[in-house]
Amino acid sequence: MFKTSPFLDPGTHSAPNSLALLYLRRDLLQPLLLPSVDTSSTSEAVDPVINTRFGSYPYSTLVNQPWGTQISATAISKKPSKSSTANKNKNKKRKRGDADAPNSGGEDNRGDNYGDDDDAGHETVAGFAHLLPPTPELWTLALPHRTQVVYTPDYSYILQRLRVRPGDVIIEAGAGSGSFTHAAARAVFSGYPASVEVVQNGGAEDDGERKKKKRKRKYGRVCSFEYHSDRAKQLSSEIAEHGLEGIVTVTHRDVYSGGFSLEPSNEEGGDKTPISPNANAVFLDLPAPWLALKHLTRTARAHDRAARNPRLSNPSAPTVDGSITIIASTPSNSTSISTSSDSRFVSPLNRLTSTHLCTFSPCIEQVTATVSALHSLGWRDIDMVEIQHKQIEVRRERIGGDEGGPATVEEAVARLKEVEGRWKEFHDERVAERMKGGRGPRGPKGKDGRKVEVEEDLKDENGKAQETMNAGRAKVSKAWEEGRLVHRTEPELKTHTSYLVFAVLPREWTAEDEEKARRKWNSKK
Amino acid sequence: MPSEWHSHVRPDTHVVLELSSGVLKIVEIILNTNISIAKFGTFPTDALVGRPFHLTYEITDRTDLDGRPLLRIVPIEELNSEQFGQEEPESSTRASRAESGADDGDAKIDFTGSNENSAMKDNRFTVDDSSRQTLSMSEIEELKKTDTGSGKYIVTKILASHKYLDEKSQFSLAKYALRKVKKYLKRFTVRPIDVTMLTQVIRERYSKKIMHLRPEHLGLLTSMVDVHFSEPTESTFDHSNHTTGPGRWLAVDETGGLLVAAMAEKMGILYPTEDDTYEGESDNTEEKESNDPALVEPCSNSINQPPAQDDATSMASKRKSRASLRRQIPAMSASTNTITLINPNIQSKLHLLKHFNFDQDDPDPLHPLYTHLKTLSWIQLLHTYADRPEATPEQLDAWTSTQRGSYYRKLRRWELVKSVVDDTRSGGFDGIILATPMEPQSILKHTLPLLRGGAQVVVYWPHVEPLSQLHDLFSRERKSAFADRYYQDPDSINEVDFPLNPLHVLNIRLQVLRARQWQVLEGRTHPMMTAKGGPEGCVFAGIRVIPSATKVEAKGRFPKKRKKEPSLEEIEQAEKRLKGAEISYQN
Ligand SMILES: C[S@@+](CC[C@H](N)C(=O)[O-])C[C@H]1O[C@@H](n2cnc3c(N)ncnc32)[C@H](O)[C@@H]1O
Repeated sequence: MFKTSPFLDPGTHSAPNSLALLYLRRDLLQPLLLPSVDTSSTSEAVDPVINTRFGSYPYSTLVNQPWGTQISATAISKKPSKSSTANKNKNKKRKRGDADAPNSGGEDNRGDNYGDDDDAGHETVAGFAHLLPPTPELWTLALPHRTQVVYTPDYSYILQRLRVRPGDVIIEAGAGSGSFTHAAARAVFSGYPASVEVVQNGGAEDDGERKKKKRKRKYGRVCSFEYHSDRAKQLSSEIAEHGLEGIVTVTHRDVYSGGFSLEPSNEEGGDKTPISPNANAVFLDLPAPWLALKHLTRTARAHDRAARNPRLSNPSAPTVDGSITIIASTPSNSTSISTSSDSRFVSPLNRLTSTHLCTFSPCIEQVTATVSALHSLGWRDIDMVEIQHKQIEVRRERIGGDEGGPATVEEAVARLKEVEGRWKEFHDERVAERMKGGRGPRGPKGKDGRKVEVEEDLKDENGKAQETMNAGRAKVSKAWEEGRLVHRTEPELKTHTSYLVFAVLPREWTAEDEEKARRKWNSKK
Repeated sequence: MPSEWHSHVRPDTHVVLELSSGVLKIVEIILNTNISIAKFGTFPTDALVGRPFHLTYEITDRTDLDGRPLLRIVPIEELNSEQFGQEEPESSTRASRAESGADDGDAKIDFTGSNENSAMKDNRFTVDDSSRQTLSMSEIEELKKTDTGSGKYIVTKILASHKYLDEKSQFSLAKYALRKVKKYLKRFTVRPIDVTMLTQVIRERYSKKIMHLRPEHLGLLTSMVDVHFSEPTESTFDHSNHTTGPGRWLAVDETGGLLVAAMAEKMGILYPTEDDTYEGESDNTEEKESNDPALVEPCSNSINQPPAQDDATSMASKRKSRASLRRQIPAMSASTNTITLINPNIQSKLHLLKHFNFDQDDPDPLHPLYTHLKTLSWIQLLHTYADRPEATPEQLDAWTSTQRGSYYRKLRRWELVKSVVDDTRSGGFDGIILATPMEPQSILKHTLPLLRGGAQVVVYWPHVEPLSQLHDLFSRERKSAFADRYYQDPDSINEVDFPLNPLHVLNIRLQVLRARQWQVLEGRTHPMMTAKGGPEGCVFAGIRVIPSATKVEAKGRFPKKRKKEPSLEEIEQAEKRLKGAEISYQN
């Protein structure tokens, strides 16, 4: 049967054989591929259990649940400590210093798992999680990191600026961990190519007029390229698991040398000409984007000319400013990588539309080299931006400080008076006693001793007052309303991700084209 | 498909002209008319029609038979070398090919001072006053009057009249020349209108009208709300209780339709469905003229008729056919891939959609928004809608045809409202997005229940404060207090303390972002010195969830219990406090 993607239509319930995310706490999500086990049986043998730091969840409690449901952990007799996969994964991630991992141990790690502030690592079985349908945003947080990834603030802007819309074709290299891939797939999605004759226009389908004009639909596609064989393989299998096969093609290729054409299907064996993706958008997240640009030309001539330019082809050639050399790593097993011969160059670009391009590079030297290459290859509107993004924390802050200081001058005065009064009272008492010639209320004689005593006493008194005050306050007060509402930036800021270089390559427009257009459109008078 | 719409200039659409000064100007492309640009002059619209986007034109001093200036397409190489300095372009042959035959033959301006030595010059001898320019203002004005062409002559003149031009360093010379080019050259670039472009155009002057939205906000908002194209598939119907959908989003938009446009663009319902040209997958095949949308014959209306009359008749016939089509195609009738817009007013204000050929008052029934954009007001959603117009068969018989006509119109209108209201109340939406000056919590109070579990809740505000207040309604303290009460005695929950169910939204994030612009000129790369300020813009995003029906045992200890056993820190703090009290006493 035809499989839909839970990213594009999750339905109302979690379904077997489909991806779901178990939300454990802020920024901690566990991806689950729900198996198609016989859920009528609850015996543990056929009901695998997912163990997390926040409890154990048998699959039967996760399948066919309405999305968003809060699910209680199940008490499992086994010690959950031994197979907490979610935990292991996350720890690994954290060690690599991945910026999106939860801030371990920080006071600001306020879980949505409310009431659950115990991070001391006690193994417990009680707890809960929320079952969520996947979205590209959540997947970006949950995916197994194999490389640096592009996060939501950057990719959302990139796709907006590249004008990627349903039905478009976007080239992406390198695919890496597939974070951008999933967002791009959502953006281009305009139907599953395999599906037959689906109603295109909602309620209007019974209109006779429209049927006549029915046209072949163009389906949006993402053409991903990745030269690291394991990453390419893993992404392909994720794409299949996520029901995105009809939308995303992953090609294992070194794009510096091999370019962006698609493999001809080997079934027919006949035509081996590489196929053009016909892209109208390109996203390059590569160490040396300028080495890939020569393949993004409109004609074989332009391509050949660019290929002869050492700066656009030689991985070890210095960049324009001549001072810094960026060596693009070349794959060791280049023989296994398909390369398309230059003599059969097919432009990967849609020849009827403009092409929008974005490159994503962390260093300014990469930007300089890219901009210079774009310039010499006839791209226009070359522009560079950087996305400055901050997450904001909201909290309530006690007026007068965390340490219980007075909130106002009046309160300060009142407190002082209270303390002063008690001190005086105590002092008077002492004087009275001494006049009587007796000993102090308690404690040893002597000047020093008395001082200590007084302090102790005061401390006691003060503490008691504080306690009763606290108790009184707790009864009437609303903890969630105490203090002043403030906001501030998150404790760990990502101050730089990458520079985004944008450019446009208009379609070819020859004097001949212009003449034709002029004859057709310019009013003759 | 969308890319066709954006590949070349089509009649009866809007495009953006980007002038050399950077000013953006929306113009409507109507055949047989003229486009006038202040200081540039007037040229025929037809000179742009059928041409691809992103071409730059220059107004030349040659004219057509009507005395209107001819346009020259400026090759990219020429543009780039002005901006980036002299670099040997890889594809210089394209330059000459693309010229539209109206080269005014002016000498090329030397923008880089590429004669040897100039790069080494520094600015220690430059004079910091305006006297270095020997041309007076009035002389320049005179020049402007005589130079009817591209403005190149002026620029060359100005550069030549600069006394100390030779002393300028290469970079400052390039900068000076580029400034003059921007000011005096009569050039413009034709851009397709899309949400990003429209946002930029409006931001220049009416930022407030769109609640200070920037393209980066729209990108983030539409991502966070997970809006995308949807269509029913077989598996959609696997879930028995899937009544409508998939792909239904709720919106409240008081940005004149910009938010709706941004969503619609991502859903593939913003641009008119193309009803002509382009039969499928021609891209890869041999070049056939008919396949190239840029070169298709103009539409049927004759171009020989005088423009005025032509316009009038075609408009009238268009109106009529629209009206009759509207009777055949029910408005707001799509059940999937829809935006449901809730209005504070009787009518939604969506005037910006006209740039995408959707006129709210006279909608084209073939425009996707006609069926996919549903609108209703708060009163319709929350209260009853008007009673069904009734008429007995006798009454109908007795009525005149106009009376009957008006009755049926009313009935249709009522049925439309009922279908939209019922559809909205049935809930199950995939997300909601708000850009309105209204109090967000009051909107969410009525709309959170309409979202399915796992749906996205996204709110935009120009400022942080309203959103931090909204965030506070879902604070951890409020969540646990709510849970404590709710599972013991649901009646103890009141709206003052809990305006919204704090357990209904998870994973809340507040984000601000800004695209910082850089100058990338060789050897002169740095962030732009200035940018527009104003409200920063803030995005609230969370996920609608369904709390468990019974109290869940949360692991760990509640803060209250901690009191029994104070932590080391707490003891220290208590001690400090007391010391403080003592000190103030002693002084
Ligand atoms: C930073 S990662 C991309 C991450 C990705 N954009 C994401 O969001 O997950 C860069 C990837 O480019 C790949 N790569 C580098 N050079 C390449 C080349 N010449 N051809 C194809 N892929 C290449 C690397 O293997 C790596 O996986």
